[in-house]
Amino acid sequence: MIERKNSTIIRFLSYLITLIIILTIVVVFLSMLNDNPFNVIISIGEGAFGSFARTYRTLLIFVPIALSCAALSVTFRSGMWNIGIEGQIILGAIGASMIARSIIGESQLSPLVSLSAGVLFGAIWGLISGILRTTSNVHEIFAGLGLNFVGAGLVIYLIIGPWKRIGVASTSGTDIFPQTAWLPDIGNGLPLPALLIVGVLYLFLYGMLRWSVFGTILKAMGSNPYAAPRYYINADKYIIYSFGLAGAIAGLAGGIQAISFYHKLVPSISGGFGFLGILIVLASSQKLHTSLIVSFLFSGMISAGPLLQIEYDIHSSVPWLLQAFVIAAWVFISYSSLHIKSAYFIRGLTNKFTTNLLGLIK
Amino acid sequence: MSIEFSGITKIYGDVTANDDISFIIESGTIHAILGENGAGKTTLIKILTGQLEADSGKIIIDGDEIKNNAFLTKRNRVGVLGQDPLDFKNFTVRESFFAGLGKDKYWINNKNTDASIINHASNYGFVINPETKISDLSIGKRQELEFLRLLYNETQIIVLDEPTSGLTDDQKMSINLATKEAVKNGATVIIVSHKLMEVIENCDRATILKSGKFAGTFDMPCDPNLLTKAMFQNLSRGPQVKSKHHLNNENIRIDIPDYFFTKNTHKNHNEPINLQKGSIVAIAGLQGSGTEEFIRSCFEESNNYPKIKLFQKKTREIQKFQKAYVPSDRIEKGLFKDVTILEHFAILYYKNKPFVNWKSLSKKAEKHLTKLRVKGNLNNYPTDLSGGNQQRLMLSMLPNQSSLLLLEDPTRGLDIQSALDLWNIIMERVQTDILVVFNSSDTDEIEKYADYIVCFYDGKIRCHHPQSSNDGKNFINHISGLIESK
Repeated sequence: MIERKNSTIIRFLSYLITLIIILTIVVVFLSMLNDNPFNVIISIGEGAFGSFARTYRTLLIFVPIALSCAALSVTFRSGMWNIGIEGQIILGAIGASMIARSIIGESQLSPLVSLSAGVLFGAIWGLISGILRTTSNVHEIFAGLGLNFVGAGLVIYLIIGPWKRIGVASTSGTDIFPQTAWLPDIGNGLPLPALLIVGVLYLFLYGMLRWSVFGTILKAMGSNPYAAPRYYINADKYIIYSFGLAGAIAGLAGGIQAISFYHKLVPSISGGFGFLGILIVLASSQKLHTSLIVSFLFSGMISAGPLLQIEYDIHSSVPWLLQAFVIAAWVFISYSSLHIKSAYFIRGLTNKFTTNLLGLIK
Repeated sequence: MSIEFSGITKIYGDVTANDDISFIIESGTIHAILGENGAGKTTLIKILTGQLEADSGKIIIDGDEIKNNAFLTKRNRVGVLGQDPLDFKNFTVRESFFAGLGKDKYWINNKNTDASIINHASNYGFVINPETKISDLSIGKRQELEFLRLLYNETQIIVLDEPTSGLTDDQKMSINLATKEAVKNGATVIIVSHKLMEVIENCDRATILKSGKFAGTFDMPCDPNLLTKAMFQNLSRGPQVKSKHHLNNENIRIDIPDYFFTKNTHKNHNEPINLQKGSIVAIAGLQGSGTEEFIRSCFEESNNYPKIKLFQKKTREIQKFQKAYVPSDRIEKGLFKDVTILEHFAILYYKNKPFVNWKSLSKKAEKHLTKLRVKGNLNNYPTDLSGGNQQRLMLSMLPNQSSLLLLEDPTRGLDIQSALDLWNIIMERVQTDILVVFNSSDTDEIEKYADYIVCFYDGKIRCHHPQSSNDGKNFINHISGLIESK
């Protein structure tokens, strides 16, 4: 292994190179679909932020993605693969829907109560993974996958079974919740409460992972679980905690999806945002601020999908494909450290060039 | 091949590992590189082998400057024999030799290969069987094999990085003889070591590094005091007296499960061991004889070994939180790679509190580090430190009070000064009424410090007695299996 500490110039160069490579890939991909790839990029921007309604929609999509990234940052920190995040989001949505559909749904307190129920349900779903892992040695990936299936089955059962719309047999979702149960927007503006939740949560997590004892121990667990006994730390306890916390945050994401985006329970309530979150967090090398920025960009792409189809006759799956390309390119670049290698190469070339130039002048 | 180091400098963060080091290693000699832990030996070797890039300076081999690790890309130029064998456990001896040969052969011709391997080994006085699986060989045998492989490939520069740490005297002897033979055949050998006497006996010259700087090259043999003076600023004395302060009559009992006994265990030796508080117990045995498992079983339950129970005042079992355990695998089991030293202390002192008072913690941690002479910054990661510093760091993180201190091979890979420091610290802790249990294959260490010796042979306990008894003085014969069971 070659150990190097990169200078600021090298780091800056490597970011620039990453950006250039990814943009090139995007442009090449788009030019295969459309005459002018830049039109597509501009129309994605327009589709995502072109009007108030579009920005509103983008922000609504951004919230659950950002939250699932936050949840995953916790479990990745403790060295765990929380594949069960999709199930945790679904359970959170079920919890929130249960409250919103009940008598409480009619009261002003409903959003608060239903989000709390979402947090609780998600946390329980997460804890199951953690407890299975620590007590029965079931790998968290298997437990998570299994629980995802259970969650997906449960939501469909509820929609076509106990919670079905009267006289309708379809999987298109439950009845719309009463207005009081919706997560309110402040004034006539943006989904501020939801954004506020994201902001506060990220600040909290940032502080927790950086300064708190709990965050430090989580990092230690992720770094070397075998050393834990020497510090009289019960590693199992922290694994369970991290799953509980991640599940709670994922449940919050699910709850917000239910009472703020769909205003009802639908089978695809998780939107695949859990798995997208895994990609984002991994690609951001588990840095909170990077995942926040990437979540924002991706929510824009997803939000622009329908508009692309209507106005440019580009299929709405194109933004998803685009994301896949971006992430694949990004993962490839960062894991092969292509960007750093090229940065060194460029610096070497410039050095050679300048020395030659100086030699010529002399 | 002659090797010239010219102005080699390597800096890690705040630590200057190599500071403008220049010296020459003559072709066809055995050259030792000596130095305390953290003196920069390993860094220098890694720069030579191309694992690290020097910040400045150059390496000149046979008059040519080495650039961009080009030297390494050529097979059979530099070979390293490290502390632990680096081989493929599921290979046979033959396959292991073949794997090192390179791209020019595609099929293994058993007959020819076998003949040439056996012949090659016998030239250096070794006997090998090409059919044997590597996993069936002892560590010592595997080291021999690695060494033979380097010679078989006609490696021109051989670096021996403390390869004899865990070997028996016989094995050391044969490796040393083979080294001399290799030099006769034209190889240049660099030995990295802490063991002065071995260096003086076997090497032609020795270069000494002191805290990253060149501190002189000496022709061998020479006065060992000359070398120690150059290596250490002021060699502090090791603890001279044994712990003979058994003022406290409180008894400690060790209940050993049957797992650790065989029919070869001496009569009546499968009964609990009774000790006095403040004793130092050595679990003596050669490398791989089961002593490490014993230490681990004292600390925690595992699937592989039954737990050893220790009792205080006859009935009160010593609980896990009253035990302190220092594993020999510092990075693997003792420290967290991605966690700074300061954060290690935070975990230790604040694990039951929600927040850390970082300011007061820094002060406290700084005090602990200076007390145990850990060279390093609080913001360093454990992997930035040298082996000796890692070991002292782990000791500095021990709780102030514990009933039982378990040390797994505490001085493995440490130089004389670090080992003395370590024992000074341990002796101090014994004063505060704890029981120390350590395992070691270093007979000098056991003789010097242990009050009670448990002898291991071939994975099981042979016998145990106080060091002062007759059998205790003969413990070397027990651990080497020379005295058969009665």
